[in-house]
Amino acid sequence: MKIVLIAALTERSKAYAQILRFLGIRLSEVVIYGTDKTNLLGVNSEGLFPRGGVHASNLFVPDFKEALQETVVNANWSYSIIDESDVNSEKLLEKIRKISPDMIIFSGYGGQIVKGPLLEFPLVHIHSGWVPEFKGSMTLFYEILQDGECAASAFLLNDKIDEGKIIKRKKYVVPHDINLDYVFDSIVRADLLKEVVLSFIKDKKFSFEEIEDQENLFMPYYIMHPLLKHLTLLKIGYEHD
Amino acid sequence: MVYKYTQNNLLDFPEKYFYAAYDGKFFIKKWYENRKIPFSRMIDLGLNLKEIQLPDAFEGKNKSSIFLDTYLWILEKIKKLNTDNFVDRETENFLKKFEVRKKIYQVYENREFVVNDKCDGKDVMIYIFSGYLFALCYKKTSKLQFLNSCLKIMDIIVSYDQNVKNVNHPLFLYLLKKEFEYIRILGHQCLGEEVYENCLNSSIN
Repeated sequence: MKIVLIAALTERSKAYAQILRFLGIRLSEVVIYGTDKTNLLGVNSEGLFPRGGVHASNLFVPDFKEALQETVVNANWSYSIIDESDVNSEKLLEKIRKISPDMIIFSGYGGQIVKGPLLEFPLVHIHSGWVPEFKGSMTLFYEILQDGECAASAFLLNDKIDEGKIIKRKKYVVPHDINLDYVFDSIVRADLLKEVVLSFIKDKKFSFEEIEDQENLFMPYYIMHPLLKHLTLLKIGYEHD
Repeated sequence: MVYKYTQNNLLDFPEKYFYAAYDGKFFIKKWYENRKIPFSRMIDLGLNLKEIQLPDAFEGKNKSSIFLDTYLWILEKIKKLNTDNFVDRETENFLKKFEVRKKIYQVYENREFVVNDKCDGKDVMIYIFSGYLFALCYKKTSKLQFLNSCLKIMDIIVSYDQNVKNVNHPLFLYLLKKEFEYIRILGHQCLGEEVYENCLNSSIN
């Protein structure tokens, strides 16, 4: 079983790497792309770490102060660094083609869209929202604002946004003491990733949820206006970043 | 502490709202104070919400035989919404184009909303009319996507009002009133009536 992690330099990638290491998963390769200076979303979360400890309903809580490379080296995973921030770059594609993975865990920069030949590989994406109802941007917030709950969904990436074949979905208890943007978002995604990877290793194949084709019934969500974001955070009693 | 999302003219410098900082309950107050400025001014000027008679507000807009005239398209959608109570896929696509481009153009090449090179997307009135459409869509569907776009459009109009020229238009006054109303209802649902009203009345350091 060849499992590869494509990792942008983000908090989410740290969370993924740390939970995989915690579980003792053997990754064939970690492909780190972009640089510390990459001007893309999800890079700099300085100052957004939880204050006064984290209480995330018994979920695995990563140490966001540990660098991604540190986790990778300590886990003895083979890794490569691609100094391009474009996930669709030829360099990254060539790397993946050489490995020919059975499963790719995708952790890209926010807002990046995977296109073209890379989609021919089984790229697992974890989205923080219950799909197909909550697809698009900031669905963690929208779901809390609208329904008072939150969720994550794992699916295989295809050429449509958040509409790939669904592997697994899971609901989570809404927290009140954690930064949602970076920290809790990463925690729930990492938790669902854990379940997906363990199932894949056990079954040696993906299993998919059977749901009706409802993609076209639901409007995607877009970046949330700060007023709605504040109402969401005030609703859950969040104090401050 | 000021409401920072209208400090620049957003028609020239579109706002992306990425990872907006959290300011707690004071943010609600800052937003409210920001909107009260044009609202109070128009009330003082004697503008009356009853002056709005759609579709009359659209009269005088040029018809375009080749391209999609956004004013006429909006009018068509408003009429349809009022009769069918149904938001169609085309309106959803219009919202998507606004969310992606951060602009609304006076004219599009077609109903796929392909942008016409000759338009600059800086006609503040088209934002007012689009805001009206999205507010109506929100009223009919309660879908947060429409309220979300409406709030962003209001930022654009208020930023223009503050930085370029006062927009004294009954439809703008109407939108401000609707914005207050929809956020108050949502605020009451999320926080409870007392907490929400306290947010509006809290003192900002």
